[in-house]
Amino acid sequence: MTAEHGPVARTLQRGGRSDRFAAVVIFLVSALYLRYAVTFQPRFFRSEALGPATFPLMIGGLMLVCSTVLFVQSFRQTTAGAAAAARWSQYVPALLLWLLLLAYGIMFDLLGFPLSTGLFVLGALWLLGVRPWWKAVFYAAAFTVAAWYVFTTLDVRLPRGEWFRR
Amino acid sequence: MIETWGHLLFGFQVALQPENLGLALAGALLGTIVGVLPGIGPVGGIAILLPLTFRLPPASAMIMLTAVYYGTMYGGSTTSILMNVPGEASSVVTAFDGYAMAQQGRAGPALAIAAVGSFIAGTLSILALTFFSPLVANWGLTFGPPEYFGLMLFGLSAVSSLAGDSLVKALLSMGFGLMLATVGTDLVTGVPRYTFNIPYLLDGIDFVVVVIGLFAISEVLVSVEEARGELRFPVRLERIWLSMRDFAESFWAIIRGSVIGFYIGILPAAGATIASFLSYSVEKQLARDPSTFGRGDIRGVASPESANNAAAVGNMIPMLTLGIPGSSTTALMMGALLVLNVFPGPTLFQEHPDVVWGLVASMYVSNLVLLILNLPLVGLFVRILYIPERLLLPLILSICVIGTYAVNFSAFDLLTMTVLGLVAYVMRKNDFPLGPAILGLVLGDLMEQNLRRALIMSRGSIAIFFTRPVTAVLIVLSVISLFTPVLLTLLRRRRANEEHPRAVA
Repeated sequence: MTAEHGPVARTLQRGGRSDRFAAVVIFLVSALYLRYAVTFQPRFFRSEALGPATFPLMIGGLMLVCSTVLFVQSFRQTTAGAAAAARWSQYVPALLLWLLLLAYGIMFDLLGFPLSTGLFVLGALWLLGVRPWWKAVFYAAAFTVAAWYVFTTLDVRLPRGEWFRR
Repeated sequence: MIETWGHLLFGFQVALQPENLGLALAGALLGTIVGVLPGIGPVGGIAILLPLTFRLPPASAMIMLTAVYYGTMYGGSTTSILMNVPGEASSVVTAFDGYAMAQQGRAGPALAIAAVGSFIAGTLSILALTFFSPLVANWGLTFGPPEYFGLMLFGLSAVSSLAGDSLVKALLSMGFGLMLATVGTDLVTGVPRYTFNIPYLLDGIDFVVVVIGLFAISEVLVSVEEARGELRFPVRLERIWLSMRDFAESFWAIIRGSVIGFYIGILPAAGATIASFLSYSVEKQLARDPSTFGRGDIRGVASPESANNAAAVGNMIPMLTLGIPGSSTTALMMGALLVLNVFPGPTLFQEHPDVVWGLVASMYVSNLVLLILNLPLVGLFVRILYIPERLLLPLILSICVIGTYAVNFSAFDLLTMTVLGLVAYVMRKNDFPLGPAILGLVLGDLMEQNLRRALIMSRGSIAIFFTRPVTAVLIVLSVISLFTPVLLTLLRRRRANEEHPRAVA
């Protein structure tokens, strides 16, 4: 908490903090999950021993209990199992790549396979530090052509996209 | 006995059909490449290759997946020996002596004994499986819904108790998998659950989409951090050979490793990793001079490699005979079978004998194929290591997208996969094990159905779970297994103080 703690203590605390954060998020998600479960009603009255809501209620209950335990544990975390301290900057490359992947998924149908794949691979290679640019362009183009050929041969229907449609 | 031989013969007829043989070969090759590749582990690799099997008949699909699985194990031990980079947890131990041998210029014998040991262990344990599994299946036929519910509960709690360092995190991960399993229309009442009026979700989230997101995408994202630099390994590789002396020295280690591995493999949750650690320490204790272990003792490679292969086979028994997968990999295979509308369990042996015995026979075949492939081609596989990771990662992601799209031709699936990939990435970063999630996902539906049936049998009374002996035992076992991690941590801490193979080298 204060500057007196050594780097190790700070590491542990940060590990504890991320666990605490995770516990809160999981608790909230589970609460929502339970909230929805209560609304599940069979359309007809049946003499079912177990309705559609029971099993989700059991899971949600387990999640609430476990996330509470995780929350409590996060305050007295001394084990080496705590997540290593990480600065946000460490996650940036992975998150950028993830955003690129998200865009790829969204554009896959619209732009079609060749264009979206070419752009995605090019962007990802660039992001991961492949230089000079023509090398990245070459790899992206080569992969796109090869993948198109292989997967259409395997009978996988890949979208051509609006721009390529006749 | 004679009946079993007949089954096995039938299995070989299935496995040796040219098409299936070709699939086994392709699977073994792909699996080895995936096992060697940085940035993608065995489970993620199998997940990516799952869509390839959908157009195949169930028996062929299983044959291919098994070959892939075997291939990843071989590939994993290769990198473990040559680079001290275990591709998976079960080949961590192999690196202790394997890498030491490689440094002494004995990479050839190390790789050879790993392949030969795996082959012998695989063959022995497949023989055991052939005779063992019909017995378990027959026993399983007497089970009703309460027993199945108990079994699944035990499987889930055993896997959670052994996954990762924190039991709570493992349980949360399991709950996450179960939550995903409840998305979609309820099979009994037809009530849509967690579909949020999105028509795509009425059928639930496709298994393959979840698996690729959870395992493959997150794995790639995790490797991004280490992928920035140029990866260069000083891999020296000479001829792969094995002298009679080396073989004689490690023969009993292989046999012991096989036996230990097989029995450990049958237990739920205690898979290849524990088997390899256990057999290594047994071998070390039996050795006249234990100090050679960790410094390039060939038995230190032979024993864990045999054990993890035997355990992989043993793992199949509860999955095939009872429908209870004991590990992420077998859960994945079971998921693949469910997608193909084949339900693992005791009736599988009657309804789909071609799947069961074809699979068993194809394990022999894959083993042989890998032995033949690996010894001469290991140099070629190792070349893959020279490909920089940052060139591979974008391609792996793109293949994930294509594979996911191929399942339903739906862009919504791509979105689901991507989001789950991020969730799994965050989970990995915070030490949440993913194994329990996949098990929860596969078993969720079946568990709910069996719970319902059991309660219908008992007209709503939960006493049924405590009055039927097998069920009661299983439930007690589930509770006990949840308390074992505490004991295990204490034991492990003590053992870590006593022996530290890495510290010796």
